[in-house]
Amino acid sequence: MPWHNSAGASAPREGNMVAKKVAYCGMLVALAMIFSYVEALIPFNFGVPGIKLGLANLVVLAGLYRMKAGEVLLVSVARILLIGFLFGNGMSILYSLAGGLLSFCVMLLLKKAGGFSIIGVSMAGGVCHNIGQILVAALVLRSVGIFYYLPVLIIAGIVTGALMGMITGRVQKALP
Amino acid sequence: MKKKDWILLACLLTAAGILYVLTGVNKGQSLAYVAAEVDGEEVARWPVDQDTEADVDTEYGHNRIRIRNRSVVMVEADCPDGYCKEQHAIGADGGSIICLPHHLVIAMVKENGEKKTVEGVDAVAQ
Repeated sequence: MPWHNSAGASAPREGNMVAKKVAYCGMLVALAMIFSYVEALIPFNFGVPGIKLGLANLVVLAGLYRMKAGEVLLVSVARILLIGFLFGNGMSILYSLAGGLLSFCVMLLLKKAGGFSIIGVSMAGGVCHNIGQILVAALVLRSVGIFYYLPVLIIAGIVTGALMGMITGRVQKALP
Repeated sequence: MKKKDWILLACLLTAAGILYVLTGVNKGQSLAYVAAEVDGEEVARWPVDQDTEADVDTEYGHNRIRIRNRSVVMVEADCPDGYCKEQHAIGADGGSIICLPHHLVIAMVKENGEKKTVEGVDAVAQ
């Protein structure tokens, strides 16, 4: 079943559709939270802080291609806040939000612009996630010294973004 | 991958390359000292060619750096994540070690200057 039916086509009542949507969003938030948690379990150190696989981006990316933008945004922000409150702190929420929102906006723009495959969209998302985080870090440190990491983080964003894009592409084909 | 994907990839790689060159512009110049910055303000500096261990204690917490053979590592930190201790040593090619929870940047500085000591920071010569 597609994640958003054209209203009323197969559902008898409006309320039914809303309930379905809420259930889907809740399920995706849970899935994204599991991904965040699994990612935290993977020891991963390149000598540069901030490099992550970005597993939770799988959910956001797949969502962009199947749901309304507003719903995806809701899922992404809910995931960040919940994971932040559970395992992080105020600052880690700020970093994640900056990265998550910037990457969401850019991915949405590229997808709307057309001509990019899911891999390209994901790549830009991965890079922008890192850029968003480093901008907040630069504000916190009140120093530009941290931009020293930017080239490495851009490359890391390209690699992990492309990887997540490929996986989401495969998942997309398998989903109904 | 579509054509636009490749263009995007090329742009990103170019940006990374340009940034890499820009941030490494001063490579090869003689390093003068190691500086500790908190909230963007320099709180201490140490000569890079003198092996030493030094504490950096600020309102945010405790860090300890070690300078050996013209390279610097973070050896102690009581920050919650400890990422600063995992970062690579910085040396001749410049760079910085950052302890985000403590707002601390340890950086190689390439100009000449006098050693500056601030209350709460003391160097232990070894």
